[in-house]
Amino acid sequence: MDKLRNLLDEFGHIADHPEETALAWKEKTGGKVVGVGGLDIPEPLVHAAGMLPVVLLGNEEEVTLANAHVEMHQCGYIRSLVDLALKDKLAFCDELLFHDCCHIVRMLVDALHTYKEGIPKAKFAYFSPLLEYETAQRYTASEMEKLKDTLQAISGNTMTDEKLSESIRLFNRIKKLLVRLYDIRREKPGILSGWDVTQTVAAGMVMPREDYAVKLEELVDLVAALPAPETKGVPVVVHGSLCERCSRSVLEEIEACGGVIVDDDLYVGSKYFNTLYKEELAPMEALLDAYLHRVSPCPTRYEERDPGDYLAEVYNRSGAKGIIMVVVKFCEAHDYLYFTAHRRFEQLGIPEMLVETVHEGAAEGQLKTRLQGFFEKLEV
Amino acid sequence: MSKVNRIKCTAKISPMMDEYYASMAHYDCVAWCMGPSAYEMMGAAGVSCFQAESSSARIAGQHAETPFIEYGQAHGVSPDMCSYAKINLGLVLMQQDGLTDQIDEKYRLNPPDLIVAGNICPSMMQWAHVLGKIYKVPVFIIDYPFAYDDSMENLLRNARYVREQLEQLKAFLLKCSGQKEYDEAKLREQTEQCREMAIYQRNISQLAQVVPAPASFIDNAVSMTPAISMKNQQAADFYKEYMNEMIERVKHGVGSLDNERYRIMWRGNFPWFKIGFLSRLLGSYDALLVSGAYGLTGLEENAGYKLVPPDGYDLEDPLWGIACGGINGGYIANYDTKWRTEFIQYINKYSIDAVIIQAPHTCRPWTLTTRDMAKRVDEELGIPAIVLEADHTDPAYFNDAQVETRIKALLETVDVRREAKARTEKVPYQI
Repeated sequence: MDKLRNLLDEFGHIADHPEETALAWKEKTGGKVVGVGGLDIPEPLVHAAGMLPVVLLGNEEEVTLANAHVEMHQCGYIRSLVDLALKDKLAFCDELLFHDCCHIVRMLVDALHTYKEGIPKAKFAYFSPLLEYETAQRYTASEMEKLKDTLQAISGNTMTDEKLSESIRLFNRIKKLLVRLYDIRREKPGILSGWDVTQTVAAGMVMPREDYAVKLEELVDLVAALPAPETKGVPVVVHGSLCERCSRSVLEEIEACGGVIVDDDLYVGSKYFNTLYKEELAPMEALLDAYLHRVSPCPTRYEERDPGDYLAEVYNRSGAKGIIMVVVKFCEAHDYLYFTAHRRFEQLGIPEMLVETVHEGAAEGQLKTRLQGFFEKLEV
Repeated sequence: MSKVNRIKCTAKISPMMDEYYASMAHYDCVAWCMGPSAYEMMGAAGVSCFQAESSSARIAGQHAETPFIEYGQAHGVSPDMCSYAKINLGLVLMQQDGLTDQIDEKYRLNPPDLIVAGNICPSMMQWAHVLGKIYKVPVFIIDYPFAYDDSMENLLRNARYVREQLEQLKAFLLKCSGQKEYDEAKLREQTEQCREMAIYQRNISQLAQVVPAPASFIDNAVSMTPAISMKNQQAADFYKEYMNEMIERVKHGVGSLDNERYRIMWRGNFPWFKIGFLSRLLGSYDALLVSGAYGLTGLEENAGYKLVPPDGYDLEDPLWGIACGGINGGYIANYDTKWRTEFIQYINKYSIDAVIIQAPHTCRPWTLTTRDMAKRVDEELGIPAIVLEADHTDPAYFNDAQVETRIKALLETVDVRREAKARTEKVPYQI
């Protein structure tokens, strides 16, 4: 158990201090660190170019300097990101690379380099949000090729198909380990806390992936060997927090009030890893395929399926009694998804609760009362 | 304090649009549209279009928005969503829930047969998705890529991509309307009408450079809708009348204000429910909104004009003109391009004294980076600028007293700088 706790704490530290592992890696390899964001940058491309992709997740530090540039009524993620940049806490990144996932990311990241000297001008990729339109798919394919060229130019390295395939295999190894971890959690609810799971996934978004794969395999084996805890909580699925880690206080409050998280549809969670790359395809095709045929719908992308139906599947297979929708306030894309999913849950009779989070912290007392009420309702 | 001389023909807008919306009930196939949905293409496929944002703006302009916003927000619509969408969704939900008799007849909506959205702002795509699920009708999205790379090579690439999508849109429209063939002649006819309209619009924009300005930005803004929703000969005729009225005023030295003391550029969309308030408020200080990147645009920096000279419309290949017109507009332009197309070109030639940048609470594209833009206007161009936190159609985010105080302070800043400049110019030499 100590070994497991040590690994979890190590992952937590890495997730909270990405600059430490990134700088150590730079010193060791002489390579470049690319801060990535916008949900859909294909990290194997960055990795195959010999660079370290660090997913910029923001953190829960108080936003101060960014308030001069970003209104309080924008999402906490972008406010945090801009704040970190202004405080030189992204200085460990040699480059910033963003996928155009929404207009907030688009506009603020595009202007970011003008806010302070030393912040690199962000590079962008625009993958069409239209996942099911052939014309759009061809455009996205060409954008991925363009991105590949950009990464080769930045790194000074040539990216062969073989290198890219190797990177894809590494990322798939990580994804499969995380899939296994989530399977174990479904079989043994409460085996790990929601925050420990989040930090475990988050560490894999920021540290050298080869090291992560080794430590993650060790962690999964340790968790698999544990007996199932006595499950006393109300099983729930947690969905949301599209660009950042789900609020720690929300996850902990869910568990403190009597819930147990049996599955999730969180960005720093199953959304990040549940779409495997098809290794039988040529590598660039595999990246495109994973983008277009993702397991978990994203409200920033357009496809016909109802997100409520996907969440219903997650709910049904996990044995949950309810879904907690964690919507980051001022994330307009998520507001639209929530509206549609909520109506679908009503039609399907799936109990659901909305938790809106703001960067400056939730009203914990209110949240506690609402969660307690929700769980009491589920237990009836 | 000046009397505001509105362009007389703007009085025709309201009845024109009432008639247009009422006519929707008689069409067999109606598309609800958001964003740049290639409206010019619809008629040739037997489809009529209902422009959702204009509808919401009209409702707010007539101060009827609150019940729809409140109903929507009470039934799952987030208060932070674009308020155009909030009004529309609230209205839709009321009708869906059997409350149509509580809605003024002129605002009632006939259900769509299809939905078309232009993805310049992701909200439009998401709004369309929601409506598609509510009404269970087919949806077509036209994707306009973010022009992070605005080299001519990339813009042409994006234009070709959009044009390819418009070919798909043709097939989609025909499938929905049941019309057998696409009427290319009608498309060319409508393209010619749009081209004619665009020429008048460009003239209207440029005539505002005259001092005193013969029309205000507010006149332009309230006259937007025919250009967006109708795009036909009636719309072209309206803008011709508008332009001619301005020309007459220029000939006789008549301005929109009797005493034009301050010329202001307005950047952003407009608080439609406060048209009269802002017009009177500014007029009371002899201030006039003269230019801005909303409403009747059509200046030289528009990518359409550069790619399809001289007017942005290609009568031999209408889809190409439509595609080029949309690929480097405000919502998808990069930060540097916005500076050029939304500030420089609307300031330099218009003898601007001050800039007001609206930051609408529920509209991210028009709000983000506004503080930095205001600072840049002041530091680089030496023109005072303010950011007004308001909203385009939700009055919950507009405070009359605050707005008045901010505007008054802005104009006082102009006065102080004018006096300082005058003192400096009196000094015969520098010691």
